[in-house]
Amino acid sequence: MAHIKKRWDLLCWLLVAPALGTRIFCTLYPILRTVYDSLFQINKIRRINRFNGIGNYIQMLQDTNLLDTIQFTAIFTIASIALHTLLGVGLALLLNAQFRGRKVLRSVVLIPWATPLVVAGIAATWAFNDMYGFVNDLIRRVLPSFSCDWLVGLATARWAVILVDVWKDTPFYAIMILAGLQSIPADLYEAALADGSGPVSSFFRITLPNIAPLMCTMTVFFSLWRLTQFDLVYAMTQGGPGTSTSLLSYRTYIEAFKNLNFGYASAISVVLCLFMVVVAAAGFRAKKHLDFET
Amino acid sequence: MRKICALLLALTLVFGVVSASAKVVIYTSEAGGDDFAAFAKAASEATGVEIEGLTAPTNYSDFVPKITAMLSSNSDAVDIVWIDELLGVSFASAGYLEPLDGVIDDATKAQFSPDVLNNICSKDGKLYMIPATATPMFLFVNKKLFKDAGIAYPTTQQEFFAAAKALTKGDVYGYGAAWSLGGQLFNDVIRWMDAYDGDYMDWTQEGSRQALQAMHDMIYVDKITPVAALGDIYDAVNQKFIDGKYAMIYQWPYVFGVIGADKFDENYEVIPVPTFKTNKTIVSGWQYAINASSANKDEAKKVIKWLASAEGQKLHITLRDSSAARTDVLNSPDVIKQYPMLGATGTYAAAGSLMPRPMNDKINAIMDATEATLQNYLTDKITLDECVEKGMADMDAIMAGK
Repeated sequence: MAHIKKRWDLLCWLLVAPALGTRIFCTLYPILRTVYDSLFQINKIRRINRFNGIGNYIQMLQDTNLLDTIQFTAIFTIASIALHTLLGVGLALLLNAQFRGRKVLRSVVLIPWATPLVVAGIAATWAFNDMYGFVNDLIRRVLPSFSCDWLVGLATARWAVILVDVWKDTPFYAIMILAGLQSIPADLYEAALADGSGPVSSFFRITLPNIAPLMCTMTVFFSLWRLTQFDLVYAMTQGGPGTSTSLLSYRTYIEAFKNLNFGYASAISVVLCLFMVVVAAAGFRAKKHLDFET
Repeated sequence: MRKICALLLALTLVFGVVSASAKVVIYTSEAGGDDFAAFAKAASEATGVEIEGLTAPTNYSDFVPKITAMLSSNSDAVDIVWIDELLGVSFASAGYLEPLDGVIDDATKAQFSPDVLNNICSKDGKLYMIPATATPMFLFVNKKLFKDAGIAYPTTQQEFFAAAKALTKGDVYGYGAAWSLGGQLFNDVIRWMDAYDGDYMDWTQEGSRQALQAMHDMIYVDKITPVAALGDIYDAVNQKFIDGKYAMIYQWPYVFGVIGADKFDENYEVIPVPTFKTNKTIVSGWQYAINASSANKDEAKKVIKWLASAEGQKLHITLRDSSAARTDVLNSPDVIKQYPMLGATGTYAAAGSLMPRPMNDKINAIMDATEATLQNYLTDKITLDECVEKGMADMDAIMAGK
């Protein structure tokens, strides 16, 4: 009997092996190769390929443009996540309410999420144009003398990028939270109502604690997606003005595929990966704590 | 049944091999145009090689990483590539292009600019590219705005700024520009530095500093250029020019096609470059080259030879009102009559206005690093001295191979 089970296990492993091998090759090999390449100075244009040790990492510390990029990547991630959380939970609460047309609204709100980000980015370039854009056109219906070159100013360009990102993915965040809201037993709210609890109190004492673990998980994944955001900057600002809206992924892409500086690009990728590991570890630790408490 | 399948398979293989060996794929943004089919047909008839076009992005920022990734990964998906001098110099250095020695004869070579052939199209004495266009950045003016204001077209620096100031009213600006990242700002800074007799590779030169100062002052002191220029790409500038929001723009000749030949003469005109310290403007050239990883190099060389011929260059002009690089074609009265922009190129050339952009194999990295610094200066984030110091430090580091 034992040897039949062993054979069966072996057969299972054999059947899974091709898929597993492909997955390992497509994931593990690129990671290891990138770490390896980050220790070399590799430039295809100048045909250089020599061991550099931690030279690329030292260069990163001296590269002021890259430090600006790291700064905005952090700002972008934190601001975007904060807005996603606030607006996403708000939208989820709205979609959870009972009103006519709720089902249609739940479908309609997903349209931004279904729009390819490159398309959204190119459209946003025109949307935020002072002369031709609908953003300023809408504002001018309230403030007729309003004028703002969104993509020219450092702060306004950053906000424009963050707002487009929030517009794009908040519906998806909201739908995930909505699923969590619908899993909260209704009798909890009934009991709270019987005890004289109002809607605000119910939200903070019932709703929020029940969806907190889900929010934590969503925050981890959304943070990782923000850290690796590329399409939006590529299509909308190319990292400008200056380097004020440059993100780490975009900078990696430029170094690798425009400057053919693969060693330096690999080093930036490794650093980005380390940031992601830290964020993921912190997030899952927090979730563990929340799971324990709930 | 087995014999029929084997026969079918053999026929497929034979047909496939025959087809593959006689077909050349040209990677060009022109392949998306309506005229490319006729162009490809004429090329096929002249060379006996089947030609297929693969459409490249028209947006330069999209085009660069796509073609770089394609060539650096040794892809044989394309045989002939359509590239400008920035890319050509880099790719020739990196070994991505096939040498073309022996493909064109001396009589043909004599029809091209020696500067372009030797400095742009060749590397270490070997020819890698065939020039196909010579496109200057023209000074386009809105005739109506000038006429309504009663101002003559500028011929000097003083007249240029006086006209620009006089024409700036409300939401109309005397001079419009695209100073966003991705090559637009790079081109314009070189152009302005040429006008002030500066050097893009040396920002410490007086002419270079004056050019940067002038660009800054256009926005903040003279106010003849809107701040929006720092966020605008060429498409936005073209639209604003068409909408009468800009009286003058320096722009590539493709805007003639954007406006449309029937509408152009009514409202717009190309005027000679006003003399600042010089009357220079940049001239860009696009070239055809063979992918070093191409599986059809012999066929590709036949096509390249035809592209370098007078017939090939004349037909090439039909692609979206493109240009030519052969002097006999550029000076042909029939061609000039049909394509006025070529006449303007001849006029600029005769006035000595054409200046190629500085090229070396690190130019893409230099453009990337310096555009960010330039934008920081033009958005008043840093001073001129800080801009010059940072720009030169970045360029020196890149040139030193760091």
